[in-house]
Amino acid sequence: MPPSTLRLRSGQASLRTGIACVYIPRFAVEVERQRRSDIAARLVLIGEATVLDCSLGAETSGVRPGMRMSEAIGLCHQAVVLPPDAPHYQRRFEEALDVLEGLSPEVEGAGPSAGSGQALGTAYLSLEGLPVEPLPFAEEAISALRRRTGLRAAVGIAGGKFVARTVARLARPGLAKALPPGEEAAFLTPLPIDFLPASDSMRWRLRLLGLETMGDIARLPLGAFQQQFGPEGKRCWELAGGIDNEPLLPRLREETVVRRLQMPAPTVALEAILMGVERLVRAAYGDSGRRGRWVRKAVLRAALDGGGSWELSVPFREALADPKDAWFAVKCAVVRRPPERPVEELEVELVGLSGESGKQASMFDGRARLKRQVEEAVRQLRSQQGTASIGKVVEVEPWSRIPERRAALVDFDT
Amino acid sequence: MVADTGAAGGPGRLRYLNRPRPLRVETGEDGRPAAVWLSSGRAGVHPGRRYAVEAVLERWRIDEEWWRPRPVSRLYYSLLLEDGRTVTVYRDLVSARWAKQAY
Repeated sequence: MPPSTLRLRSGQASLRTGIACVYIPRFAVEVERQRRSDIAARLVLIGEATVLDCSLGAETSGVRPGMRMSEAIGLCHQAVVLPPDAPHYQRRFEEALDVLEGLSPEVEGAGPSAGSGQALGTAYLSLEGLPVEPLPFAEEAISALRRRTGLRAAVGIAGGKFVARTVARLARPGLAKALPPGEEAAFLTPLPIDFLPASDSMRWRLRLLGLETMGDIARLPLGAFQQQFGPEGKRCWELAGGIDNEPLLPRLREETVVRRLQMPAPTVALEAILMGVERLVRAAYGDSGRRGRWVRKAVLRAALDGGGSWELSVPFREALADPKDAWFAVKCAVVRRPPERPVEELEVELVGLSGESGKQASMFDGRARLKRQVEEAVRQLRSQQGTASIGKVVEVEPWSRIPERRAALVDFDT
Repeated sequence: MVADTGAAGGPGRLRYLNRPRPLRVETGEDGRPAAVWLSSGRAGVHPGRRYAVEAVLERWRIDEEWWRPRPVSRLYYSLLLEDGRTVTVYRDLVSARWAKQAY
């Protein structure tokens, strides 16, 4: 990456507006390394057919996100290749966003769902109206992220998202840099076109035309450039000239109910998985956070043995208030697409909680009455025994040849 | 912005029932159990009493999850003891330890 001629400030800055981009380099690799100490000092490639993310060492060998995995392995054949665990990365990224939301009310996350490897671990914070100087604020963001998530971020501060992200990508992890207003074009001019959010084919064509830097693009007339590259070209031309009016879109946090269950041993048995999911669906429906509201969707996740995860989204045809109806829909979906490897932990998340009140169970239903009686007995036991845990026996794999796998005790509330 | 109520504590946990309990076993020359030490109290607290094995009623082997780092390979014995009781024990063929477990 060529040295930038910009006058980045790492001391006091007088910016009171603008955007801070928090960039966590090699986000997926870093979170994988946090949970797997055995790859701390190894070259790491994450991806399947193509590389989603790679470690610094792999990058030095010429690997780039988006490259074909076979090509990447050829470049660094000693690397550990991991399947991408998008739900885990998303969860960890949400944690990072939670930390940042403690610093700024408007935080936008360009997480793994954005699809591009470069978008992993990038967040934007609005500095509008904040009663603090931007650089100390950015340093606090870096420090809070390091302290609470163990991740090292760089922060770039500028008037727009693209320039802020470019500043952050050029800064060393752990440092914050601010670009004074009006210097965007000068800052971008010597930088290579790789920073632009252009498609591979557009980059290829740009290089064929001898356009290697953003300055090369910004010097061309917009009309001619747009004629060649269409709307994508117009956007890149504007960005290369430091024109960036893309607004910050703060994340909307949806109210959800989450329940998790750790399996005592990794299991591939569909019946055991279904049993766990059923318990979780019922427990999530019984969660006080639902407050009787209807549910529009259930998201199932599983941590798989040997790394990786499984996720299944089950949107309901209509919002459901009854866990039995939800369980039926969820069960059908799981049977159609079960996890392909042994499951270590299951999670059920209920999302799209609607404001409507739930359907009432019949007062004359015998099972409901029995359930209420049991719950009342448990409540009384708890009041007598204090914190003593109360469990119930459930069949896990009743057909198993391993006797201790056949039945288990599960917390009564699960 | 709505507060997230999602983080519903830590994960729930399944605790398997009928877990194997370590057992002291004396074996004969053929490797079969000749005597077992059974305790009436909590395992490991009391050394227990020695019971000679009158007969091996049945013997079977299970090999499961051989593809995993810790495969399950056990040789079970159903034993008739000198006091007329029957117990089921197994020898873990991976760790070479004995355990008692109802089958």
